[in-house]
Amino acid sequence: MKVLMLGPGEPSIFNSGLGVAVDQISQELSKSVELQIIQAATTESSVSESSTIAFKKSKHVFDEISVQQDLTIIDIKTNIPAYFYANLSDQKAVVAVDSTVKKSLEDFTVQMLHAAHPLAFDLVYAHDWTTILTAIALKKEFNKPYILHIHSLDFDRTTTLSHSWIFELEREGMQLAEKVIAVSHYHAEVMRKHYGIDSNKIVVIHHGVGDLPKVKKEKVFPEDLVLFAGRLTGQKGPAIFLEIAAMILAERPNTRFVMAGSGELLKQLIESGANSQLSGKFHFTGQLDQDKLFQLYQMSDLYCMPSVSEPFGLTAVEAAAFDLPVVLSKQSGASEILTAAKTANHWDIEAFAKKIIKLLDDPKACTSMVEKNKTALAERTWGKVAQEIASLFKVVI
Amino acid sequence: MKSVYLFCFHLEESVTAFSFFDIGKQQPYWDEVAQAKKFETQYQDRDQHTWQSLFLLLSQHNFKAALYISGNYLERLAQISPETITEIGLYVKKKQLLLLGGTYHFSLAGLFSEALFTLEVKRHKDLLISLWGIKPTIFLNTYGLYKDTDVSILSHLGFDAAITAGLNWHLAGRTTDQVFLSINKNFKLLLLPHETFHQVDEPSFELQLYHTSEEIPWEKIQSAISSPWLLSEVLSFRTASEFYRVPQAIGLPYKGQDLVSYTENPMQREIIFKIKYLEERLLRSENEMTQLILSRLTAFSHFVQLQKGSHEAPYELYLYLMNILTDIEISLLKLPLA
Repeated sequence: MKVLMLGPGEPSIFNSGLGVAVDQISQELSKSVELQIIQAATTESSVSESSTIAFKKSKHVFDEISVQQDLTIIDIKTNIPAYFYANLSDQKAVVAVDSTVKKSLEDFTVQMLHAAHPLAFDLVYAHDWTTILTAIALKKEFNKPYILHIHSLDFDRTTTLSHSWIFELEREGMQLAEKVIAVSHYHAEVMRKHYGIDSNKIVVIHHGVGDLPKVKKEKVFPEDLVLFAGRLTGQKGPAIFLEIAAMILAERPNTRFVMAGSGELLKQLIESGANSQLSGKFHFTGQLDQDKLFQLYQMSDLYCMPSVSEPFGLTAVEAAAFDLPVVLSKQSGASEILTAAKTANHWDIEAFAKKIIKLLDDPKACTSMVEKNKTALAERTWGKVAQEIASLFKVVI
Repeated sequence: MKSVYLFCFHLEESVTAFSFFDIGKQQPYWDEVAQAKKFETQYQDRDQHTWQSLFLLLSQHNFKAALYISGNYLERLAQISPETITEIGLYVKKKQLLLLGGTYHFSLAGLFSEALFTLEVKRHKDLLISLWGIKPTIFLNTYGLYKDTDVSILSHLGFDAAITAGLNWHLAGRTTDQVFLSINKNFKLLLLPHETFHQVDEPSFELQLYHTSEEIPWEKIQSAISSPWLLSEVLSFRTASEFYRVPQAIGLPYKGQDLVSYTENPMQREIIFKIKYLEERLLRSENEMTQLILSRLTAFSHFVQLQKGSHEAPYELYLYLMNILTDIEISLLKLPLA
């Protein structure tokens, strides 16, 4: 089976968890299907930089694993950030950003189609909104089916029903796809409820977890350390975490908080944190690479994910794999796998605070949660995820 | 009109990019090599010329001036130009230069911490004694910062006068060309005219303050010299009879902004809050090294750089400073209380 994958590119700060997930999936998929990947190149290029196509008939990403099939990776430089949503208050700036992204998407699509033309394939496997136009065009031109793997939607990123052109693009892309992969039942419900997608078209395939490095637990602070990790955008609920921290500190001073990540809300959050006078017990790390994030998991005592809408939440799974108890938003997919996780509605600050305090004060409950979640995760490998996706490919072809 | 010249030499402090992951790892807060190099560049590009111009006026025109040189500046100067230290001493002996007391790190501690302010002033004074054997008696705080409650601290440290800003509100129609009484009759005040101050008649004398970080109009100074006074001469020639009351801190504006505004944005406030939080524990631990580190963090340059703006720098600096303060906090927890 020859599969043409339209991907977001290798993991980078620009594609966040999406890049990690797709990288892991493609590594595993390439063991069972002939995979050709056209993907956004990892680039920090400016908007003015001209787009180029770089063909890589190589296995550079896969050097350390056994690859049974030949693999083609075609990198296309693009200026489309997977998450360009900025809290711009100036309407002119919003329009300018919007038109730049539209133009970049058009250029990217033209180049993807150009790269796809000489390739032979049975099926297109596309990821998220940046690849939808290409998938639709390939379906029309070559009459090849496509499967759309949705990692996040405009609904999640804008935390409202924006009905923007991206929202409409996502709806059309899902409607025209043979199958849509949702990363959680929570997200499948979003697709049904807000995008009107037929339930029969949606298949839920949860993300998995890979082999993570094991490093000795590092205790730097005398207090318990509660971690938030994610892009600092409205979707991830960083301001909610700040409020949770303030509430916990008022009751349990022996607690510290760390917010890892960067985004358009960073400055605002720093000022809010300073304004809240959290006794210097709230820290920001800025953007972290994977090694530093793993180090942070080792340093922390609990992971909190108060996302407003989180299709899956790979960091929660990673945190659990690093033996951290987790308290997650009910509006997230990860809790469907981490069945022992404590959950609360993202707007319920008090519930979050109470659950975190209770866990921090009850090491036995923490250990029990960690063990249960680890057992659940042991069954959820990226290999298994790839198997489920490959099975779906067979159904469609 | 008699002119009374004051020159202010200071050095900006810059902390390292101290990350969250550096906490508890005994990483340095300052890159001393980079700081030394920065001073060397500043000295070669600007200050060497300033010193030469000043010494020329002193040798050829019977010029007189008062100098505030911050402690961190003096430390570096003594390393790269000991001859400048010697020459300053010579003019002090000739009573052409008067050395003013001040804070060691051109600090804002006086605005929020009596203990760190005292430490800063005492350390600066000790340095003047060790370099020239001189005990300063007139005090100039960072940009003329002053409030009534400073008097007891300064008197206790051997000062009998201070220089501060002459602000319309506090002057209430009076002119700045006189010596004022502070809340303590034995402690005098000399006033620097504020730029918004409207003098009706030409004053009989005027204090002129020059920061060497800015362009100094040497030619203008030279052409206007007519037997200038030293500050100490003003104090002996004029009798103080009126009070200048300052219940809340005042100072000269910096870059058009009221000086106290440098401690009022959320990030500046949180840094101060954390410093004060640590100060209490620090005083009980009597750990001198950590006290000095904490006082160095009160340097004016940090608070200026924490001014909000569209750039990332203030936010990054805030995170570095908070990480450093947390690192100090953790190290303090390991120290026994006195």
